[in-house]
Parts: sequence; C-alpha cells; structure tokens
Amino acid sequence: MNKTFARYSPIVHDVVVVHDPQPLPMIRYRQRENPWIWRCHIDVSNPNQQMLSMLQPIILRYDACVVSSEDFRKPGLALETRIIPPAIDPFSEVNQKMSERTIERKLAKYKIPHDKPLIVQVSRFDKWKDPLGVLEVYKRVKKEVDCCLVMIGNMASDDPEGPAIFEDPLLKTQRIEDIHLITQTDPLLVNALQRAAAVVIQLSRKEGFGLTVSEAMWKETPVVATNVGGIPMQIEDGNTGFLIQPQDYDDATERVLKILRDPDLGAELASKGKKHIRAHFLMPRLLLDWLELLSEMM
Amino acid sequence: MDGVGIEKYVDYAGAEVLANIQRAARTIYGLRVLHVNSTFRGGGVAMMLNCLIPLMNDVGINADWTLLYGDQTFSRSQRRPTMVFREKTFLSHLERNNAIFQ
Repeated sequence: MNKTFARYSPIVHDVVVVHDPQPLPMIRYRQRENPWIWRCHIDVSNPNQQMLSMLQPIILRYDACVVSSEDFRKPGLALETRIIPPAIDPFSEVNQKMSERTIERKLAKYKIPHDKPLIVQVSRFDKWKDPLGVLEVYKRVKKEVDCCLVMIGNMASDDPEGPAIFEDPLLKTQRIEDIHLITQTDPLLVNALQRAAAVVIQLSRKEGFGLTVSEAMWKETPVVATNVGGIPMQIEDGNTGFLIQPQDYDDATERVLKILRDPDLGAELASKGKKHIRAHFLMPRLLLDWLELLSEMM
Repeated sequence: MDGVGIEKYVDYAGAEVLANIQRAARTIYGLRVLHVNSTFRGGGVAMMLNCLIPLMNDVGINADWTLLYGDQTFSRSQRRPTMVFREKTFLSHLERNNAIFQ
C-alpha cells in the first residue's frame, strides 16, 4: 500500500511529516530530495524489540523523529529525536466554552443525573484504560459518598477485549447503581461531562500522552490519574491534580474521596491545573514548536 | 474575527507567544509542508492536524494534509506496527484479529 501510495501521490513539498507507523515505509519508494520527519505519537517507551529492529532501517532514512515526551525517546536509535508534546485546541467542540444551561441540557439528553457528584472517565473501552479498575474504584467510593459514574468512549473495534466490560460480573451481579456507559461519539457531551464532573479520573495502565487529562484540566476540573505515558507531564502530584500508580485502587479511592469531601482542595488543584495547561499544552505552543523545528530543517 | 486565524488565541496564549510564532514563521514563509497520516477522523492525531494545518497556513506556511489510502484489507495489516509497538501482548490480539479479518 505504501508503494502504491508513494508512486501515485504527487509530493512537491519541501518537507514531509509522516505521522505514526502506518505510512512510515513510503519513504522507501520516493526519490529523496528534501527533509522527511517522522512524528511518532504512540508510546514506544517499551517497544517490541523484534518490530523495532525491523522498522529501524526505515526509520533511519528519516532526517528527524518527533515524540511526545522524554520517556518515548528510543534508546539506541541514532536519529535526531525531538520532543514536541501534543496540545489541545480551546476552540474545538470538545473544549469550547459551554454555558451551564447547555451542560444541563446535554446531560439530561443522555439521562445523566446531576443531583449527585459525577465521576467521569473519558477513554476507549480497552484494557489499557483499565475500565474494570474504574468500576472497582467507583464501587469503593460509592460506599462512602453517594455519587454517579460515567464512562464514555469509543468501542475499540480492533480490540477483542473491548466488549468484555459489558459482560463484567461487577456490572451484572453486584447491581452497583448509577453507572452510565456511553459509546456514542459526541464531543459536546464529552465537553459537558468534563465540566460537570466533580472528579475526572484516568486510570490507564498504559497511555500515549493522555490528552483527555489535558481536556479535563483545561475545564478546571480536578483530575486523579495514573503515573503513565505523558500524564506526569500534565499532573504534578498534589499540585495540579493527583497522580497514582496504575492498578492501585486503594490510593485511587482515597484521592477521589479526598476531592469529593474537600471541594476547596479540588478547586485549588483544578485552578493550578488549568494554569499549567494554559502555559504548556495549548495549540499555539504546538505550532511554535513545529515552526522552530521546520526552520531548523531547512 | 476570522474563524481559524491565530489571533483568536491571543487571550489564551498571550501576545508574546503569538509574536514568537510569526517570527519563527517569517524564516520559512511559503515553505511547502506535507503531513501524511492514515485517517481524517477519530483519534488524537487527526484532531490535532485538523487544527494545526489551518494554523500553519494562516501564519504563511503552505501546509497540506494527505491520507495514506489503499485497500481496507491492506490498511488492517498496516495496523500491525502500531499495535505491536504498544505492547507485546497485543501480538496475541493481532493474531485473533487477523484470523477474523482474513
């Protein structure tokens, strides 16, 4: 496919930026005339060695590689590697300003009650996002403080374990109440939920950058998230949110309860969180990083 | 105000960042940049390009976006590197997926 694409797509550009591994090999089918940059968005902190050694000769044809965080630098890859973290757009549907009325209307449309604290996780239903861990934490929190859980995200069509959560015994047999699982794609609903939430959680066992964490923080909502991928770049524990270890459900429960019981603490974390996102993870910073890299390449 | 212009970010990013952006762009005005990825919709990459590409053009870079197109069966096999990169155990999923798709 790369060969066909490379042969039949006119490339008259001064610089080519290739995103993620799928189009990576097309560089082999072009006469090199200008710089090519590989933007690797995925987590390669612990890559499959066999696959890496297979891709290495192709990667080395590139002039530079761009990754999201220091952790994703590939050790031993003799290619200039730059760090450009992702960013969110405050004007996109998922982040744009939203009135209280619109939020309430959006929640009502999906029959999500807003008379008790909302705990929200936004992410695909695959096992790296630990959806069953989310249920476990919710179960424990619910025993202490009456609240409601919303999990929203795409069904991972390429992950056979995705649907497993809907068959989970926790959901079926224990009859925990107030759980809403939503698989519709509705950026405005995500926006409303991230604003309405008392706490946003992100219990990923593995994560690329974790832009949904930035999205929640931008909306000044306190976040409890795991210390994986790009999340520690966004959350400084106890300052801009709470960081926990993956699968440490005791700690996760404790931190969520802390925020639910002490709204002032939550508000302070959230306010610092928003400032942090404003300073580091908005689109203009991303644009500036790219412009600087491109001008160096020429 | 223009729907995609960089100036609408002034309240969020500050005037200094905007000035730095224009200064950085000035050295490469008219540069033709091609972004290639494998989907227009869904996922963080497409969402980011959707915003970054108009902004690049707004500040004077000729940025294009093209898709790696091809037959769907092939594009599924192309997923392999992404998934394997993520974790070794994805290999087992991959085998299952491939069995389904083939």
